[in-house]
Order: sequence, then structure tokens, then C-alpha cells
Amino acid sequence: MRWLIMAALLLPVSGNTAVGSGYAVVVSSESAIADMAPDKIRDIFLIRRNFEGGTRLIPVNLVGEDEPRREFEAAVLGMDREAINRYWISNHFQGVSPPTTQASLQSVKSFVENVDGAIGYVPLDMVDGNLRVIYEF
Amino acid sequence: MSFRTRTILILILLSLAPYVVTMFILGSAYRNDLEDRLRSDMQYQLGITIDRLDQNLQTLEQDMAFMASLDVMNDIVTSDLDRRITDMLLLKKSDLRLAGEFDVTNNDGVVVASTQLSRVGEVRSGESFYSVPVYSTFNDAQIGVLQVEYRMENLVRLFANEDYLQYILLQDENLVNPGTAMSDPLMVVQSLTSRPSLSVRLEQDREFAFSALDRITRSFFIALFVGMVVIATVAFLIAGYILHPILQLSSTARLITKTQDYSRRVPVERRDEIGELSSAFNRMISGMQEMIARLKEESENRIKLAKEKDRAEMLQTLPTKLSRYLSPQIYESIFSGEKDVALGSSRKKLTIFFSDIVDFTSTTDQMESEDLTQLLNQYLQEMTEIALRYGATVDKYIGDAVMIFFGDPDSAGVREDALQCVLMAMAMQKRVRELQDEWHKAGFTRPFRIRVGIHTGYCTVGNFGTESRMDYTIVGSAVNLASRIESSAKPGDIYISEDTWLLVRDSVNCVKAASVTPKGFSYPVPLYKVQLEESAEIIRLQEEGVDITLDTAVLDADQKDKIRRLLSHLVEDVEDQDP
Repeated sequence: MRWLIMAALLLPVSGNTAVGSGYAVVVSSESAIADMAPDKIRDIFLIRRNFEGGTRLIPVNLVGEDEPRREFEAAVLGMDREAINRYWISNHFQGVSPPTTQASLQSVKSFVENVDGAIGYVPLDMVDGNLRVIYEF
Repeated sequence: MSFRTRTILILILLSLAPYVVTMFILGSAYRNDLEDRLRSDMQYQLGITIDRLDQNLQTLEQDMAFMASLDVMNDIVTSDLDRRITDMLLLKKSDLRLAGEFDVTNNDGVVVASTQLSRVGEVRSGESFYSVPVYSTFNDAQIGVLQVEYRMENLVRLFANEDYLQYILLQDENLVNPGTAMSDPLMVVQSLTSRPSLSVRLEQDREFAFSALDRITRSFFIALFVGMVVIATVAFLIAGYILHPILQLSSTARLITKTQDYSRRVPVERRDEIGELSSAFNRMISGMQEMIARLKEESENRIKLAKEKDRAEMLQTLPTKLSRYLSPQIYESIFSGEKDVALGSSRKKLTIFFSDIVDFTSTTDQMESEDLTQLLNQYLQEMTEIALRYGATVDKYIGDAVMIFFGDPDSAGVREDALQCVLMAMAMQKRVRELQDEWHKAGFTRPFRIRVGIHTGYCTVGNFGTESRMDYTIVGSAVNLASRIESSAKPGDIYISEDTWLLVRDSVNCVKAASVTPKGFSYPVPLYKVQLEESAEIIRLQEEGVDITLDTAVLDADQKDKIRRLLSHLVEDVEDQDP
């Protein structure tokens, strides 16, 4: 019985995860940034790397812990929330702040489209002609 | 104006002076000073308010700058799809209780976020109170502007307005909020430091501002009035206190002048200068009293002296004068000191003489009074002279009647007195007859005759009357009888009583007249008529041992018969006796 309840609780999560997979790291279609390896993307989002080919890179995060951020953190950054928090706390004292955030995927998309050097992540189905996928996860 | 009134006025003026000065200071100088103070207070208060407004605006500015610097502003680039900027702006608006709207526009001027949601997507129009550029947090490029549409209510709200104290916001000298109109208020104006185009005017109701002063002034007026009453009362009392002895002095002086009573004194109640004045006054009055007493004594002495002198003079002339009124005998006996001029009497045998003019009243009725006076005076003069010649005492004149007596104060003996009296009467009758001739010649045609009555008897002689007025006279029935005899006498005759006749018959020729019973006498009184001239019919033989008088003229037949018989008897008797 207990197992059954646990299973019922876990089902939607696992289901969502299954459905959510298929996100992409995107840049503006006019951006000069080329496809990137996940390590590079990780460095950019951990503000270890700011420039790419003369262009100042502006990573943009989704606010909160909703998908696809969690997925992105797990898959691309390879860190859980605790590790990320620790990371940013320690970097805060060195004058490094986390990337700017946007409240919605739509905003992320708009931001990436409008700001030079912006790099964000959206579900694949949101990708249109204004965006260019540089990595999928 | 009396001293009292003047004192009261002076005291009131003196006491009012500080009041007047105070009122003047309060009224103008202090009022101006107070106005300056009020203005400076208002300026200070306005400064505080201006500071608050400035601070408020500064806070707004700072808040906007702060908001513009926030990461969330990066949402401008995404046209604030998530309305995070809007949320923040709304929150801030509510925090600031802002009247007005925040707008965030992108570089194209399109409203990206606004507290007025309907504006989103429109191009912003109109002035903004503040606008702060928004820079991207990641590349420092301007991505938009945060603007505020500010309404002045925000500032007006900060004013602590009262009925009497009002702040008015001015923008470019235009009223932003009209206050309630005050007539002639106190005003101060100051501009905001942060926004010189904005200024605040502080108005204060003048009436209210000066109400405290007015209250004080009113209190002062009441105090002034009360003070005046008190001062007037005190002044009245003080003046009374000062004046009381002076008034006493003047009333006493008046009283002394009026009553001449120099024994009056002013009570000396004080030991001050006025007390000194009172005692000096008293001393003066004492001096005057003494002086007046001395003068009085002196003048009395002088009057006494003068009186005594007068009296001495009078006394010198008195005898001469008196001698006319008194018979010389009495006069001499009084002035020689033989008799005291005192009430007293003694009994003496006197011969009393009465005479009067027959029908005097009817005679004189037809005469003028001047003539009468002359006539009477001449008559009395003549009679008196005769009387005095015979040593008579002229007792008194009773109109035309004369009363004379013999025997006092000088007496030659009763017999001699009686004789002198009869002789005097005879002389008088004789003189009257002569006078009558004279008067007849002078024009007085009526016969002028007197009748005389004489009696000798005991009388009481002396001074009768009172101490102040006395008369030397005689009283007694003898006097009365003499008067009655005189009344019974025939005009031109002298009637004497038997008592007198007995005394004078040897010397005077008398015939017996009819007896009369005078009024007041119960028995008939024998009377004798004095023969004035020896008639031919009178036979007289008066020798020792014989005394015969016969008046044949008056004898009737019976008497003659009686005498014949008597005489024949006598012849026989004589012959018989002769041997």
C-alpha cells in the first residue's frame, strides 16, 4: 500500500521529466556564437567565461527551480541546487554574481532575441527562426 | 481746582505713566517685534516643511535611481513580459503612497511597464517630473527610462494645515492648492532646494497670531482700569490724610475769624511737617489770644479812664444841672453830704403847699403850645423863685400844679415854717396878679388865677422809689389833705387848714371859711382863708390877753347879732373885773 502511494506521488514527476526532455541552449539567430560543448556552456553560466569571439556573453537563467532550469542545471551544469548555491555564495565574495534571470521561458526567448551575446535555454518547441540552437539536452 | 483734586490727578498721572509706556511698547514696538519674531518662526517652520518636501522628493529620486539600477530593469529588453518591473513599480507606488504614475519606457519611448497598466505598449507622452535612465546590468547600455508622473498632491499632503496656519504650494508662482482666503495674513515664501520652480508660501492669520498679544493688551486695559480705580481711591485717601489737618487748620481759622473765639486750637495728630504747621498755628493763635487779651484789657482801661474822666466832668457839671431839678435845700444837703442818697425816710411835721392854675386846661386849649410853654415856664420860674426866697422845698411840678413843703431838709421850727409858707403863698398870689397884668398886655386875655391850699401835719419824708430811680418826696395824709384844701380853695385865694392857722394866726390875717369834707375824709375840716389885703371892715385887736379879729364884710345878720351880744357880755365882764 505504501509503495502504491509513493508510486502515485512520484508518477507525475517522472512523467513530467520524461515529457520535458528536449530543451535547447539558444542564442539569437543573428549571434556570432557558434555551437558549443556543454563544458563551455557550463563555464558561461557559472560566469567563468564572459567572452566568445569578441562578443560579451550574457547568460540568462530562468527564475526559480522550474523546468527547464532544473533540467539544465542537472544536465548541463552537472550540479544540484545545493552545490549551485554554495558556488554562488563563495563567488559572491569574489564579486561574481549569478547570471541575470528571466521570469518565463517567453521572456528568456525575448531576451535572447533582443540582447547581443545573450545565451539562454528554452524547450525545443519554442525555437523559431529568431533563435539558433547551439546545444540540446 | 482744589488741592485734593490736584493731588489725585497727579498721583493718577504718575501711576499711569508706566502703564502708558507699557501700552505703547505693547502697542507698537512690541507688536512690530512680535511680527518679526512670528515671521522668523514661520520662516523656520517653513524651512522644516521645505526640508521635508525636499527630502520627500529626494527620496523619490533615490528610490527611482535605485529601482532603475535593479537587475529586474533588464526586463525592459523583454518588454517586461513577466511584469516584474510593473510589480515593483506598483509596490513602490504603494510604498510611497504616490499620487501619480511610474512609467518605464524603452529606448523607443514605448511604455514597457507602468503603474497605469493601460499605458503599456503606448508611446509615452507628456512631461515627466523625474526621469532616470535605466542601464542594462550586463553591458551598461541604456535600455530605457524610468519616469514618474508626479502630482503635487504628494507635496500638499505633507502640509500640516490649520485654520490659522496654511501652507500653499506654488509652482512657477501659480497657486497649486488654494488655501482658505485669509485677510491680511502674515506671509513667508521659500523655494524648494531641489526644485526652485516649486515654492511654498506659509500664511498665518494675523488676528490669530496677535491674539495672545491682544489678550495681554486687554488684560492690561482691565488692569489699567482696576489700577486707576485703586489709585484714585488711594490718592483720595492719601490726599485726605494729607489734607485733613490742613482743612482743620482752615476751618478753625475761619471759625476763629467768624466767632472771634481765640481759645480754639487745632488738634495736633502727627509728628511730621504738617503736625509742625498745626502746632505753629496753635502757637500763633495763643499769641494772638494773649495779645488780644492784653489789648482788650488796655482798651477797657482806657474806656474806664475815659468814662471816669467823663464822669468826673459830669460830676463837675452835675451840681449845676441838678440844681435845676432839685430844690436847693435838697441839693445842698445831698452835695454837702448831710444826706445820703439812699432809700430811707423819716417822719417830720411839715407845712405842705399846693397850688394850681384855675381852669388851666380850658385856658390853654386855646393857646399855641409855644406860647403855653413860655407862659407856664415863666409862671413856674416866678413861683419857684418866690418859693426859694422863702426857703421852701419845691417838691415837684405837676403840670400847672406846684407842690412845695417846708420843714425838710432845713427847718426853722414848725411855726416859722408854717408862717413862711403862708407868706410865700401870699407873695405868689401877689406876683400872679402882677403877672396877669403883664400877660394881659402881652395878649393873653383870659384871667389867669391860682388857688392855694396849705396844711401842716406829720409826713413821711425821704427818698422813695428804687435804687436806680428815686424821688425825694413826702407822703402821708397831710399831703393829701393839703391837696384837697387846694381843690376846695376859690380862685385867687389861699386856704389854710386849722393846724396851720393855729401856727400863723398871730402873724397873718385870716378869716374862717366854710368847713369842707374833702374826698377820703370822714369829718369836716375847718378852713381858714388868708386875707391878702386888709379890708376896711376888719377890726383887729391883738395884744396880750386879747385877740380879736372882726371882718364885718363877711358877717351876716345872725353873726353880727351874736357878736353884739358877745361884745356886750365882754363889756360887762371887763367892767365887773375892774374894781
